[in-house]
Amino acid sequence: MTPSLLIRLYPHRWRERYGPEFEALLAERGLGLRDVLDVARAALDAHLHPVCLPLVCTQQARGRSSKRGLIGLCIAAGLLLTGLSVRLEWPLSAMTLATGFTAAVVGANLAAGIWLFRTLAEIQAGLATMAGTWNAEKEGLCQSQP
Amino acid sequence: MRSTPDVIQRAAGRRPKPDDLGALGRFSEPALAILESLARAPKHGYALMEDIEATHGISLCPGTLYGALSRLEERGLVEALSPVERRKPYRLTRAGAGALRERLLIMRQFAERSLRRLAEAGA
Repeated sequence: MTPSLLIRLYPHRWRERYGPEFEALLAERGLGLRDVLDVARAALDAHLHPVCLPLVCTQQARGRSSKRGLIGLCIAAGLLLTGLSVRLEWPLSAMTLATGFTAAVVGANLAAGIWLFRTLAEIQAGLATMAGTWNAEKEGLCQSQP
Repeated sequence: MRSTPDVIQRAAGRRPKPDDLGALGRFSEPALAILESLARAPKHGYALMEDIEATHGISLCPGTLYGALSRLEERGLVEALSPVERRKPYRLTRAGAGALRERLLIMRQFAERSLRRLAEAGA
């Protein structure tokens, strides 16, 4: 397995910060099975426990926190309105309940959609790299045949 | 499962702080070795691996090394210097030196107490 392929296992933000130096280290060291397993484990850990470095993620975190804030506000307002509807008279209670429920559902869907989009993008990037490497290896094999 | 330094810290009668090395889980021991190596001179990743293996006989794999290094940088205990080609050297910060000193003192306290108890038990 090549260093560039192994690095694709890490999250995008991690690769932005450490990718070039980590790839240089892997190329310099030469990879054994133990190293490959260790890198795979560390990459999984980087997905589960992402580090936040000031230089890398200030702008990304700002964008993400504003999105999260908006979604959170949407869900909170929805739940608040849904709860408030119990105390109101008909037809105001029905209108408040419908509005609150819709806002909460939209907020939850947005959160799920963003998570799904990011996960799919990561998987697609990983598959694209694997396919590229496989094609390159296949072409190399074909060219070496008489 | 608690990491060894965390257990040592509790045995020494101290609670781990959130930014302590004991809070790094399985990366706490590699982090200690990295801080100790950087205390002597700034180094890039590969030089760190070689130095730690030569000094302590600990063979760190690349994933573990950068897992620990990224956590140390996140906590401000090490900082990256200007890159040389694709390699980026790291150096110990003042906070890193403090964390290293504190950890070594805790380990010494643990070792002294344990040796005393061992002698008292006549083992």
